[in-house]
Amino acid sequence: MSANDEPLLSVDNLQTSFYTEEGEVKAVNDVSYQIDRGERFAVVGESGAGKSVTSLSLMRLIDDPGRIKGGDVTFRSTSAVAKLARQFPEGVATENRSGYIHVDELRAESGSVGSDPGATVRDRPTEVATSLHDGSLHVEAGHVDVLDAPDEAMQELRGAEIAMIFQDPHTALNPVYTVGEQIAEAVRKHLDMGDAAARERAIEMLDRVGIPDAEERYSDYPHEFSGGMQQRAVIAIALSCDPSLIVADEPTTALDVTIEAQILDLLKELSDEEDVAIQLITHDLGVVAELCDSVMVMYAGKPVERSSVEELYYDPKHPYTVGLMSSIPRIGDDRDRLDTVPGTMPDLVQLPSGCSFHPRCPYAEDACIQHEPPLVDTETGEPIEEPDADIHTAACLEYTGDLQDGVEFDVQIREDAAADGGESV
Amino acid sequence: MSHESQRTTTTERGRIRVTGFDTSVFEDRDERFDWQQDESTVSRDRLTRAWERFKRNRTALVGLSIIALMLFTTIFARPIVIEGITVQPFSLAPFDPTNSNFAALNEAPTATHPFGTDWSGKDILSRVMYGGRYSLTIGVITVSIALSVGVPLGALAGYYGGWIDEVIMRLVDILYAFPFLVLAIALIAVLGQGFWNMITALVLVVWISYARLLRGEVLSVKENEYVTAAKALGARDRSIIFRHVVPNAMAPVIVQATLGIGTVVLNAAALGFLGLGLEPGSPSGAACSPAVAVA
Amino acid sequence: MSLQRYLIKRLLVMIPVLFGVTLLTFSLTKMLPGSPVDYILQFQETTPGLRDQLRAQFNLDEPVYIQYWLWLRDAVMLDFGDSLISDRSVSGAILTRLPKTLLLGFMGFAIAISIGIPLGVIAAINNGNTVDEASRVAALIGIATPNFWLGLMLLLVFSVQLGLFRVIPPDKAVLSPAMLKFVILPAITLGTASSALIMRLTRSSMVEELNKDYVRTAKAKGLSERTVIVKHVLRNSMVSVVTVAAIQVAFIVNGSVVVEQVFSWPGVGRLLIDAITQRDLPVLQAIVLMIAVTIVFVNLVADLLYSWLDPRIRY
Repeated sequence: MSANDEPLLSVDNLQTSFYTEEGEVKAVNDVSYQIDRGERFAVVGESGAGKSVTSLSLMRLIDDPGRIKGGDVTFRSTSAVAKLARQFPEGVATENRSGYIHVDELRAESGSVGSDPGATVRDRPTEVATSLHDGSLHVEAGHVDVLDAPDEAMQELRGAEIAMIFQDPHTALNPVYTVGEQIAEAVRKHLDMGDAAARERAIEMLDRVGIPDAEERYSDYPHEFSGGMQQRAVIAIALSCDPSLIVADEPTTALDVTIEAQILDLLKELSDEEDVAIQLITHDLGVVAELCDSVMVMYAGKPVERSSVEELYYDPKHPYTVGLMSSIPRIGDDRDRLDTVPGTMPDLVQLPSGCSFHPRCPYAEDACIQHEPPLVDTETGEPIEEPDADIHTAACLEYTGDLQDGVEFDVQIREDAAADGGESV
Repeated sequence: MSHESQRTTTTERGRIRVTGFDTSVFEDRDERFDWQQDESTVSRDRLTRAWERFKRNRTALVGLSIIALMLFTTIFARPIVIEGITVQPFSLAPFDPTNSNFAALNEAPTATHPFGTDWSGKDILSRVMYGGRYSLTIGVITVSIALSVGVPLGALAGYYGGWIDEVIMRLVDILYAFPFLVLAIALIAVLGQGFWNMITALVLVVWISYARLLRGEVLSVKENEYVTAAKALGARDRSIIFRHVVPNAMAPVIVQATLGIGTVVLNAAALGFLGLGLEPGSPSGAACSPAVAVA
Repeated sequence: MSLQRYLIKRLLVMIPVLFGVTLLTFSLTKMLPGSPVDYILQFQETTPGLRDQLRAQFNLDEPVYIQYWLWLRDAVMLDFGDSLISDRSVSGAILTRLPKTLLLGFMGFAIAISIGIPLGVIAAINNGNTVDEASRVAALIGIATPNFWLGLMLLLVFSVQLGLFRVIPPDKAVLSPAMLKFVILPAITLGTASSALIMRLTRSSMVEELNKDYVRTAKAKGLSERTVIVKHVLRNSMVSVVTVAAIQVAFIVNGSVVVEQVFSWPGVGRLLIDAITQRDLPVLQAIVLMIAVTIVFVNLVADLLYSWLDPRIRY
């Protein structure tokens, strides 16, 4: 079962740029992270930090003038590998040929394919495809190179394996088709169902996301739904084909607070019950706390801190994270004013020298103007080879020992709550 | 592993407080930290910037040069004389467009007559150059008058609403039922031919589209806060409409009006072709009419 | 339910419009200098007795509002009296020519739509590149070319020089092969400007729709590019294209007046021009009224189509 120990999604050194008249906008500049099966992973940052572009890149939904310049996106889903290998046998990587579908391990139900099962996988992809199709072979392990896949293969992945939820449900639904049709459409495309079955499935999904009278609401148009209901419908579309990863791009930003809580509860419940991983894009640290397991903070197209959610809250490392957290008002706060991160994020065409954050960082020293900090393990100060959720990393010269005065701040936890939780920092 | 670790305590909001992110250091920090982005656009006045943008647009430049060329040829085609004083002495047109040369009737293009001659031996190139004056003046005058009718009516209808709106818009609806050319034809049939009759007929059909367009814009512009603010300050309706509302609603009307000059010229030419334009004499459209007989 | 109410409201608004249209058409003759009798007599000298007789015959001795009422009553019954020139009934004259104009109009409209929409889609998909640029220039030329000039050139090249088409229309039934062949050039002439306009509009509304969030949702579902464009984007763009297509009907009527003249097409447009040159007022009135009423109804249909295409619109 080695496959399941590996992360569902690995993003390595992803670079996406937009080519505009002003120059190259490095919206995503060397981003690496990974998401485990069923994990809820948050990407946090101000607007323009490259969060949305990161998610659109892994869906390969970057339009002109944007382009994914480099990096790897590895998606390890046996169902995706099996499906793609069946449909695109020519895309299977073999020893003689490169490809974007990698079948690492097969299990035969009865007998084997050819005389040597191991060799078959590598050498006779077409035969394997047939055997996968008739069900005599099962994919045990394998992965898809998302950035290398042709468009047709991406269409099979989108919606079926990686689904997406968008920020503004009001504009995310097509106004001229019924809500039900917009769900059924995805079902027909990916689950090989007829009209009637797809309709059933769509109603079931509407019911699943908590829309009352799902059968009747099936033929309603989006404008007949409230904002919260529209977002539920968008979630129903995302969920309809049993994806293993849902990318939720600020799913609650456009909704009011009570609805936000409902939608977050729904996402949490769904990810627990359906065992689907969630990549949540948000600028709201409160949302992260409620929903997620681990988190990556982005600034100016780069990750500046990565850790589990508890670590980040109780022991933030990067000054930017510290600044973000200082700006959250606290119940019973006795401060006169909130500390905010002063200034705005720089234009991504032209980044400040050294650490991109130094103009806004109260701890900045000369070294910060000259050297760009690498992302390092905050314990050892060593650069990390592979992104690992268990290692707390940050990109600040403080942790490479290059700062003279260091980064000083306090994290206080309200007494009573700390006692309740029994957590010690 | 991380998602399995206990995370019982993080859900309550506002429990953690971080201090020490002291932004007051910015006040007396050395200016080498004040990284500034290079200004990509040096501040220039609006006209210069508009011209810079315009120059980058190839289509716009081509269009501008065509218009400039047309203006040039029509202005300098024949001398312009106002009350006996020659304002413009040049004459680019090779022949007098009204002068008939009966030795050369219906000639095919030659070196002397690059466009040939018409049934009465007039040089067609000269007639085209000279006739452009009529086309351009008809276009500009018609659109200007139509604007001065359509803009106030559209503004009134949009701003006041109610019965004023009903009356003006029903009138517009009624006129809209008649196709541009058909109405113009009918009006010319009634009014008779001639330069000003043609302009009257065209104005009567053109103003409605400006009125309709401006009304729609005014309806949305008048919801803006600055209009409410002007009202609260006690500004009179007239000054609100013409100082605050109309200037902000004019953009699409101006675009439409610019395009409208072309439409008017084309329709004037079509009227000329149908024999309903100016009296036999001038613009390009009328010149085409006898060509039917040739074809 | 709401659609029904909208329909009723829309029909009620049409009443004053139709009233105004008839009033305007009627007053066309009243605006003429001189007495209508002069026009009836085609300005020939005659005895005062005949003049009085004609005044009575055409109800010219009644007050104006009675005249209008009598005219309107007959007009509703499609009775516009007799032509002053040919002694035929006006409606008869129009009806014999109507099928030919309808054929020309439908063909022109079909060409405008079938060229304009696909080219608009292609331009939108190629937004910003050479194909888009070329289509912009083509559209500009299409819009700027006067239809009488285009008609003459087509006639000159394809009929006179290449001999592919007849120069004047054959005297055949409307739907006969010879007629259908002849109508090609006039229909192209008629449809060119409209197709250019429809193309630009389809392009701009497609480009606008392509940037909307629902397109990303559709792509994120894994739908193919083709499905996203045809099913989602085009359907939404059509909402605004339909409105403009309706305006194109008026445009086509405009054009057909000129095109019929160029191709000697024996349709209503030619009848209109003949009526004007011969001062045949009843024919002029009848044609103008007929066109106006048609356009009022076309606009109604466009509005209904609009609210059917866009489920959000419920007045």
